[in-house]
Amino acid sequence: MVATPAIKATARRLLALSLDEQGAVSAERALEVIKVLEANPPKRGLRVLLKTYATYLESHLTKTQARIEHAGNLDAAALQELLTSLEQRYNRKLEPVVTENPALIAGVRARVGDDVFDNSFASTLQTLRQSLQ
Amino acid sequence: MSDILEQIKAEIARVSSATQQANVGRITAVADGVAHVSGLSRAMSNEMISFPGDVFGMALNLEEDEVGVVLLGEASHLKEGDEAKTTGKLLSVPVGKELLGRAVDALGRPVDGKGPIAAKENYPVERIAPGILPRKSVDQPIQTGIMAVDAMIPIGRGQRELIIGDRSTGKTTIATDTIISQAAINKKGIAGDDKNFRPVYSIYVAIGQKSANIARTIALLEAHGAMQYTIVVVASAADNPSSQYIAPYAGCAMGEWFMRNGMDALIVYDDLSKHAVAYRQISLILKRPAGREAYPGDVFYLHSRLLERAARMREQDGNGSLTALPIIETQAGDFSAYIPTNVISITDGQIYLETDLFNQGVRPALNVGLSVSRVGSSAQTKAVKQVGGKIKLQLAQYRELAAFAQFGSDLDARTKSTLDRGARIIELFKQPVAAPKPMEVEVALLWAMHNGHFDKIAVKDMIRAAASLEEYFKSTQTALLGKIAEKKVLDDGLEGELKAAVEQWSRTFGAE
Amino acid sequence: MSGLFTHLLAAAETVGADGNAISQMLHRFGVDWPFFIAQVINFLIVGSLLYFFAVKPLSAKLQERRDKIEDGLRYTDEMKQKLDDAQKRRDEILKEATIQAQDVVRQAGEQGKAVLSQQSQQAAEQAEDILKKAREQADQQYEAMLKQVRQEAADLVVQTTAQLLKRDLASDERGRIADEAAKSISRK
Repeated sequence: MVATPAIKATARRLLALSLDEQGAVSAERALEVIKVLEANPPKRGLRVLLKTYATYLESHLTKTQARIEHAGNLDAAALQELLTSLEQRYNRKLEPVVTENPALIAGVRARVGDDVFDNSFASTLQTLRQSLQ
Repeated sequence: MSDILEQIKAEIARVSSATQQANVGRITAVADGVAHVSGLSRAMSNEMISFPGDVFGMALNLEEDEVGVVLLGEASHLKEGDEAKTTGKLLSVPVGKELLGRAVDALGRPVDGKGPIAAKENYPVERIAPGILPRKSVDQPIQTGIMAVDAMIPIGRGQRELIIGDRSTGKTTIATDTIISQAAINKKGIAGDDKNFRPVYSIYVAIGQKSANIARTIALLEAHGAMQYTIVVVASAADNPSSQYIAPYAGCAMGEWFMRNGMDALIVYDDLSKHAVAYRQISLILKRPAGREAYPGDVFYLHSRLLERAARMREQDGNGSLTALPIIETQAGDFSAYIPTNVISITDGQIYLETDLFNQGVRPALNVGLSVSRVGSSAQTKAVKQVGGKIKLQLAQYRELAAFAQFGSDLDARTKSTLDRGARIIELFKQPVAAPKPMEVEVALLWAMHNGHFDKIAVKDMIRAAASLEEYFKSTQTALLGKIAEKKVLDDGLEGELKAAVEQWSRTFGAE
Repeated sequence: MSGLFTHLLAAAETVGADGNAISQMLHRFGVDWPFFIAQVINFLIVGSLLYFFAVKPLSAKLQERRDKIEDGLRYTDEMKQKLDDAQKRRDEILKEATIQAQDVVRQAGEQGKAVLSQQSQQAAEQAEDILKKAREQADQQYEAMLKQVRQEAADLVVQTTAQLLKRDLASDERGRIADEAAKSISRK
C-alpha cells in the first residue's frame, strides 16, 4: 500500500507533535506519539503511516543535524570551523553528528538536509574514474 | 597504447581536490521506468538526476516531499533506498553535423556500432519554441519528390504537415521518400555551382516502432544514399516509455541546431500516436489525473510544444528552418479521435491516406479531398503551380462524377471527358516506393497531362506512358529539363519546347 | 436536200408554163408529182428518224470514246510525272533517313560511352565505398578496443590508488588532509 494524501497529512501532524519548542525532534515526544498510536491504532494503514512518519522524522532530523563523516583524525578546531560555516550557510543551529568512515580514504563529507558537501579521496577517485571513461 | 597512458596522465593531472556539492535523495519506490525519490529538495523540473550504475533520469513531478523521476535506459538494478543525485544539468543531447549518418538513442548515444560521436555541442531536450518576432512566413518549397503531394499539397520549409492514415497505408513511405528526395537534391546541389543552394538535412525519429522496421528504414535510406544527410533517432518498442517520450524532443533539439545555425532541416516523427501512448503510460504511473481516453490533461501541450519548435526564421535570425512531418496512425480511418484531432489542429495541414485507395492500387493512397496544405502554396515552385493548379480541381470533379457515373451509362461528352481526364490523372500520380521525381520532371509530366497529351493513351497504358515520357525526357531532353530547373517558371518559349518534345515523344510512343 | 427538190419543182413548173417539153420529159421519166412528194416526205421522215436515233447517239458515243482516250493519255502523263516526283522524294527521304540513322547511331554511341563511363565511375565509387566502409569498420574495432583498454587501465589506476592510499597513508597525513578538507568545505 502506498501513502495516500490523508496518511501523509496524518504523518505530518504526528511529526509536528514530536517537535519541541525549538522545532527540534524530541525523543520523548516521539516515543509518546508512538505509544498513543499503539494504544489507538487506525483502522487501516498503520504500517504505511509509521513508515511515512519515520521518513518525515528522518528528513526533519537531517535538516537539523550536520552529519559529518571523516577518515583520519579530525582536528577539533577544524570541525568547529566547519560547523560554524554550515550554521551560517543555513542560518540555523545544527547539531553535529560526527562519524568516522574509512571508505572515504581521506577527507571529509558533510551532509545537511539533502545537501552533501564532499571533499574526500573517494569522491575524487570516483570523478577521475568517470572522466577516464 | 602510449597515447592512452598519456590521456590517463593528463586526466590525473586535471583532477582537482575541490569540494563537490550535490543535492541527494533516496528512492522510495521504483517501478515501470519511474522512480519516486524522497529528498532532492533542490531538483529542477526536467533536470537530469543520476542514479548508481550510470543510470540517468529526468525529474518530471516535483512534489512537496517527493520527486517523480522517469528513468532513461536500463534501470532494473535500482532498488528502494538507492541514492539519487542532482546533476545541475537539464537533460540535453549532442547536436551538430557529426551526428549525420548515425543512428542514436533518445539521449544521443550511438546505437549503430560505428563508434563514438565527436559532437562539439549539446542542446537541451526541452526548449521554448521561437517566438513571433524571429519567425517568418513559409516561402521556400520542400520537394517531396511525390508528384501528387508536390502538385496538390505543397510543403514549405518551416511548415508542419501531418501525415495521417490507418496502419500500412504508406505513411512512413511518404516520409522516407521525402528524405530520399532531399538527399538527391542535396547531392546535386552540393556538386553544382549554385552558391545560394541550401541543403536540407533530415532527422528521422522512430518512436515505439518494431526494431525490424527501423532497421529496414535505415537500410532503405542507406541504399539510396540518403543516410549521409540523415540522423536517425531510435526509441523502439523495446525501449522504455521514457525513452519513447524523450525521443521526439531529442530529435527536435538536433533539428533546432541546424535551424539556429542558418541551415534547413526536416524532421519526421514516426509516430506521435505511439508517443502519446508512451506519455500516457508515464503519466498514469506518476499518478497524474487521467482525462479523455485516459490521456493526461496536458497531452495537447505535449504535442503543441514539440511541433511549435518547427519554424522558419527571418534573415536577421539566421534564415534557418525546421520542417516537421509528424505521423499519426488512425484506427479504422477515424481521424476524429482525440490525438488525431489535437495534432490536426496544431499542424499546418495534413496528408490523409486511405486504406481503400491503397487496396485499389492507388499508391500513394492520397485522399485529395481531405488533404490540405494551409501555408505551402505560397512556397510552391511557380512552374509546378502553373501546371498543377488545375489538376486538383479536375481530380475533385472526377471523384464527384465517378460516383454518379456508376449508375448511368449515357454520359454527355463533357462528363465523359472529365472522367477520362480524372482516370488518367490518378494513373499519372501512381508512383513506386523510393523513386522520387525531380521538380523539372514533375513539371514536364504535369504539363503533358494538363495540355491533353495523354488523352489518346488508354488508361491501362498510362503508367507505362508516364514512365516512357519520363525516360524520354531524362535521356534526350536534359537541356530542356535543366532550363526548367533553372528558371523555375514556364514561359512561352519553354512551353513551346515542351510541346515540341512531348509531340515527338507521342509519335514514338504510338509507334511502339 | 428538200430545199433542192423544191427548187427543182419550182423550176420545172416555170419551165412547164412556157413549154411542155420538160413536163413531158418528166412524165416520160415516170415522175408523178403526188407520188414524188409523198416519197419526199417519207424520205424526210426516215431521214430524221435515222438522224435522231442512229446518227446522234453514234456520234455521241464516238465523242465519248475520243474523250476517254484523251483522258487516258493525259492520265498517263500525270502518272509519269508523279512517278518521277515519287522517285525524287524517295531519294530525298532515303538520304534524310540515312543522315538520321547516322545521327542515332552516333548518339547511341555517345550515350553508350557516357553510360559506360558513368558505370565505371559508379563501380569505382562503389569499390571506394566498400573500401571506406571496411576501413571504417576496422577503425571502429580499433577504437572499441582502445576504449576497452583505456577503461580497464583507468579502473586499474583508480583501484590501485585507492588500495595504496588506504594502506600506506600515514595517520597524521590523513588527519592533515581531513583538516584541509573541512576548511575547504567551510570556505565554499
